Amino acid sequence: MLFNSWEFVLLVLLTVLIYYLPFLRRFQIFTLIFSSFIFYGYNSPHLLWLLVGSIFLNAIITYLMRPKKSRRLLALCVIGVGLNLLVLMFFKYSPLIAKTFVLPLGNSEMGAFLVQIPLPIGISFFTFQGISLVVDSYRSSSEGNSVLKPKQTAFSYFKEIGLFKSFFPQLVAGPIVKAHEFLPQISDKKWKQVDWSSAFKALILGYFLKMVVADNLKDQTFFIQYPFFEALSGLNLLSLLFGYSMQIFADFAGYSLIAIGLGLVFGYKLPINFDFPYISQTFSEFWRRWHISLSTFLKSYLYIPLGGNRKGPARTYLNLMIVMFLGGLWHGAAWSYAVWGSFHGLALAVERFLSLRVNLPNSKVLIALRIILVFSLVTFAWLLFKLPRFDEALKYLAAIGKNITQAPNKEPIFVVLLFSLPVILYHANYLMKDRMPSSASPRRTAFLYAFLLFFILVNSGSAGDFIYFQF
Amino acid sequence: MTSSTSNSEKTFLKFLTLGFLGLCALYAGSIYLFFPHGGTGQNQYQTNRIKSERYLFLSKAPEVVIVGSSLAARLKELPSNWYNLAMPGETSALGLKVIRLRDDLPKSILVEVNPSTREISKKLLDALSSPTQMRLKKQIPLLRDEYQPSLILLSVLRKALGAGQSDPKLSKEFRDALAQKHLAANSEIETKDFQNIFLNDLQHAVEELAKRHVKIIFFEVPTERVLMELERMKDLRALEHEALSSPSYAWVETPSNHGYETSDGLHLVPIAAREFTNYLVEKTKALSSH
Repeated sequence: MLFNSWEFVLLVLLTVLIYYLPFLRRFQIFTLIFSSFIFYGYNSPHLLWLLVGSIFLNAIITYLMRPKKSRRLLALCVIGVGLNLLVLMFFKYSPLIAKTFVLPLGNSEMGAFLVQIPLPIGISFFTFQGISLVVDSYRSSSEGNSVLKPKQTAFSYFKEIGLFKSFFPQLVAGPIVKAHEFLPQISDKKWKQVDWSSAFKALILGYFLKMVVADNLKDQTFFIQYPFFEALSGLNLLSLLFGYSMQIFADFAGYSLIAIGLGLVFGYKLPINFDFPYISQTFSEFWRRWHISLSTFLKSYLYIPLGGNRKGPARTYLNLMIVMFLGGLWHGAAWSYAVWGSFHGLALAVERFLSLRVNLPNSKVLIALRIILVFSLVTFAWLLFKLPRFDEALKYLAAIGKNITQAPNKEPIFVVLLFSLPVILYHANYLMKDRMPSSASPRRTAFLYAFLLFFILVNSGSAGDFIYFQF
Repeated sequence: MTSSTSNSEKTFLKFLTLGFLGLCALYAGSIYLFFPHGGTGQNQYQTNRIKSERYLFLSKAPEVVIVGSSLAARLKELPSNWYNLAMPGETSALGLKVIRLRDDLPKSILVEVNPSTREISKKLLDALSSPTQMRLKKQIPLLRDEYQPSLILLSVLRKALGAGQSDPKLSKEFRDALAQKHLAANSEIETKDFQNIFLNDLQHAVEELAKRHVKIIFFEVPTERVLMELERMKDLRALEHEALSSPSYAWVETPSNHGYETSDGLHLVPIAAREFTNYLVEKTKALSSH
């Protein structure tokens, strides 16, 4: 079910109504779990068992972590993380494993079986949340704290884990919520306590970014497709790449904001996922601002356990490469995503190496140049998201050079710039914030959001899937 | 929640609603006064949707309607009581289904036939068939695609800069490559698919309309001669004539040995499209008077 569909709006309205009815308040968690199951199973009900299975698996393992016996705790943690990874590997990476290793060896029956395994929507997100639950439970239990609240029954614990794992606003495309951030928030929620203006702001901005910016840019960036791009001028090809960079931000940041807004409607605060990433001056800053919930997850549950930067420079660079390689593969089961991740890993390693040796002055021109450089490299790397086949991505780059003297078609360039403008202004506004009056009045803010709402009504593009749904 | 937070929240929600309604009213007034004709689409889907919506919101059905693909979509400068509902990337069957969404029907429909196994676009048809959405769009023009602010801005800019839509300047190599691609694609069309998908859809759609006393006239848009004279194309054309032959249908003879120029092997260049339009109008008038 898409966030921008009528079915979804109806589901949310009904859920809100039932959720806040005073005489049904004690069923709030069940209401949310039930709605989440409808949301998840709407298009592929047969895959719902996987989500339910994942909930039970993680709930049982973490429930067993109560006794403070360190050896058993570690074993349970390893089993829990291992099973979550196994589920992810089986459903997400089987086709890739088959194409890379099984089919070339001629095992066609096994290969054919692995290739046809369906990719359940949101599996990358809910298995990562499962890992977070297992590791957080291990950490808190080994410090002598129980994962359960005082006097909590097994039934109540399973119910809470059910909500944590299935909470529909962030179920299929994040933000990835860590157990220690979400579980303490579970309590009775009252209508009066909802921060409605923040919820509306997040929802309006999120829907604007998705429906007005991303969905309109999608129809332009459609032409980043072989062989269509071959006939376009170099300037048109560059503008499309720029547009795709804006589209992927608007699409994913939009989704995250809608999730955050919906979370607030139900009384839950989800973490911010994007913090103006395109003003980053370095790659490490970019990863502190882009898909924050994933980068903090990888940092907490992979980079630091691998040793982080505590084991010397060579190991630090290796850790960065490993984390980004796996982070790339997390995005999609294709080697192009691994290359994309490795490119970012390499950039982070080189940047770290240089930052320890070169001290650049902090002039405005240099800051601007650094922002442009990081943005350009990040944008070129997105090409592998749009064209996962290496030969096609290379053909695209070659076409930019080959067709650079060809007269550009100005209209598509104008359209790309027009729909990219909100993202540019969004970032520029953040950059200028120090020079602007500290806080806008509620009236001015309200008019700004009214303007965005107006554009959602009159200038939305044709509805398209969220890009991150495929991950 | 403190009372000051609650007050600022109320102010925010109040001005959000007022601002939104004010903007809608202002924009509705502006399009009524300054841009009654709206803009054209930025992409194929939007262009087709606008074309269909304009047809559905006409006060009265035109006398003659053309349905077809991008080949027929190039036919312009038509008589005033004609409407070109041909849609790039789509088939004649979709156009016929759109025609049936109105209560009143045209007197004649010119149906383009070309060998294709393309299926009807469900996404567009669903959008046009949604009663709530279409009723809202009929009552509130602001919601129609053609009045999107970005399209209005583009049409204003086009007018100001004197830029019209023209064929992209393609190199000879690229044109030849496209023609070869069309050649290969046409030779790969399976007879079974052609009959099951294209002809079946078309047969059903025209039968329904013919029963309601609409004159059905089939025609073919000339393409590059090398394509038209392909043995495979001749076979498919024979199948079309066989499947769509009925005393209640008429056929416009395709000019043989023609010199119409195309931009890519398939689509007529503007001058050729104009010439063929004149030919088609003449022939249709002759057929309608019989």
